[in-house]
Amino acid sequence: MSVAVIDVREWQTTVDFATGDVINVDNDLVALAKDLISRRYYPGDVDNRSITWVTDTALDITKAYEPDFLFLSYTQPHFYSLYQPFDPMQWQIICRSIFDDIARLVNETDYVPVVVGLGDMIPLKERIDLTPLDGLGVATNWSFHYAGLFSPSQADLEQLNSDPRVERIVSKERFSELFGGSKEFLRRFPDYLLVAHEGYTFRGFSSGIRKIGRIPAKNLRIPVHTPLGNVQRLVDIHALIDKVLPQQKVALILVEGIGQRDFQLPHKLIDNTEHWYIYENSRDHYLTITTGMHFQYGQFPPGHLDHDKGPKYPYSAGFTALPENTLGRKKGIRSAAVGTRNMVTHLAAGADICIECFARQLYNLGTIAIINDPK
Amino acid sequence: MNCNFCERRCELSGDYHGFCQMYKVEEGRIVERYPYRWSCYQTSDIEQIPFYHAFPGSKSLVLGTMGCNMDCKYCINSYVAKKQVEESRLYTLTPEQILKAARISGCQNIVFGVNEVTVSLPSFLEVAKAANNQGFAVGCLTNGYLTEEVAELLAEHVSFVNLSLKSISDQFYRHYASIRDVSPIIRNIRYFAERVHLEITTPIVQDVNDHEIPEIAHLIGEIDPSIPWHLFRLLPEYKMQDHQYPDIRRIESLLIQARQEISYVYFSNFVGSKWVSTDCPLCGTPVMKRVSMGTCGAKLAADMRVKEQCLGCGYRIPFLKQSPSVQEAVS
Repeated sequence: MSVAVIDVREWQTTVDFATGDVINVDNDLVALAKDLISRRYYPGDVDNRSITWVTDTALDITKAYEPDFLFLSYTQPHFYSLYQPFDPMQWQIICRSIFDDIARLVNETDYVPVVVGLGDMIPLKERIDLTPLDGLGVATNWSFHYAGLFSPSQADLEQLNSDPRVERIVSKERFSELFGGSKEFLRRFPDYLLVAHEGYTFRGFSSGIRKIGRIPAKNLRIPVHTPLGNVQRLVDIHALIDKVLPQQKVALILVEGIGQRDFQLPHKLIDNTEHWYIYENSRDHYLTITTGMHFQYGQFPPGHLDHDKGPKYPYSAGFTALPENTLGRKKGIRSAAVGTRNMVTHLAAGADICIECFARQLYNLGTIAIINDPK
Repeated sequence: MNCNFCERRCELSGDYHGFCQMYKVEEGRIVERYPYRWSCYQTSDIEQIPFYHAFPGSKSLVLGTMGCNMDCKYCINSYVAKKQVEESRLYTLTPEQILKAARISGCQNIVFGVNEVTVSLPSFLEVAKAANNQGFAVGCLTNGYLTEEVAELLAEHVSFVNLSLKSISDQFYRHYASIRDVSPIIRNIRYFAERVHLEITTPIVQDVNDHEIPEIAHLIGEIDPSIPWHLFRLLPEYKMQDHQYPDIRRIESLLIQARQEISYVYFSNFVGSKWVSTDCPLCGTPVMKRVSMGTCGAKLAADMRVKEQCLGCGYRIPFLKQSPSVQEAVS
């Protein structure tokens, strides 16, 4: 049974992670999680201190649990760029903090780092309003250049085809032929996927209310720093790490909001695409890196509509099963994860112990630690 | 010319659009500045809004605009309620477009949430009328500071309301919400309790209104002990963002007492709360299991009623439900 310890400041509870039922369980990992998250309050998504929160928590875990594989995600640059007025001085401080902290982690441990910058952010040019359409245009907070279109009229398709801001319109069938995807992913896939040109994003049904300033660029290539060897494509990272574990201890470190422009470590650029699809910070980006497969483990396509109603895994973004084949699930190794990408961290890492913030729409609701089923 | 939508009754003039910024005088009438303009339209589980005793397990289309007629110092939605209205951030959607979105997205009801309904009342009522005609149930959130006329108008078109009763002290409302007194809100609670399905939410601000929990419970119990009461663990933002978070254990101890007077007491806005499920008030058998997701409401995990009755004792717990014919019409 997977267990979650939830800390909302001065109050904790322990639950069955699959059902959310309060349980009474005690073992070394649960005790470690309880202690760790009671001492380390999450500072908040746009707070610079969330950077050191990741590193400090990770260092605590490495000392106490000694994992062979460590997964970290730093998202503060993404949330800062997305929601805060951009200040170049502040941005320099953020970038320096991230790379100083990565250096601190590497210096204080014996992990071989694999650092991936998930891509640059650029100023938003304009939002493409989908509300006048006859069909329903769904543009969620989970994707920027992609939106879903349900039940469109012929006039909708003609109008979108002639919109210079729209790069392409892809039917569900065409997407499925080209990319495949899990059963749940394809079941939720919109009738059409809309793809915007760089700098444009959609707005429509389910769009967030907060004002956004910067969005991910169309990062065809993203930087990877590692002494482990060469990788060419996003899906190669999994194999690169998998083959050296557990002979070598590896830290896979994902940094959202930073790409080639601000990456401060020696690096190679790798392909961040599959056919014409360019990954942007999302569940699928993470899962493709940690499973080594495109779209096979995600359950929610861009622009999806369906809300999960099942009672299973209430703290896993609607996933009804935890993805297999993630690096943290590898047999014969110890694994741990710390991240500020709520829910996606544990889904993508699949680690024995995962600690992540619990935040929604910038509301800082606390911290959650997941102790996974034994492998 | 005085606005009569809320109890502020602002005197509107050419440049002054009221405390909420949302109305103007045009040809001797008070009209909306941004009719049919919305800041969001999205789906939500109804329990997330929160409504725990109305249409359990249904999907709602949630609408919001901008602006508010209060100025709560701790507001958690100030980025939409207290910002200068920017037209570019508002969608234009007719009632028919909204209902079409509800149909395509599989929503069973329409709820005005996010900010205060009174600030965009004429547009919302148009949506409500069209929705009622097409078989959708309609509800709203409100801070309750409405005039009597508006409360009547609202009750004609909505069947479920969650009213935020922040305190029963005039002093609290003057200092923290920038309105004169609480009496119109209590008047409207009494009014809605008789005419629509009513749930009440009280945001708890540590060391500010937590001591009022027993008194508020007593007031609600006196009006109708079957009104579901949601206590909301407020994590203050806006002008009080450094204020401490509410002490969960202390509040829990007060809620145990509150349950002596009110049958359905809930406590949410923290992940893992065990106060979001419904037990039978007569025999204690679990009736509805919900999981707290941390935000204001929860997610329905299991409905354990049999033929709408408690499995333990057969008591019929009040839940507003859609008639089968309406459900069929919507789907």
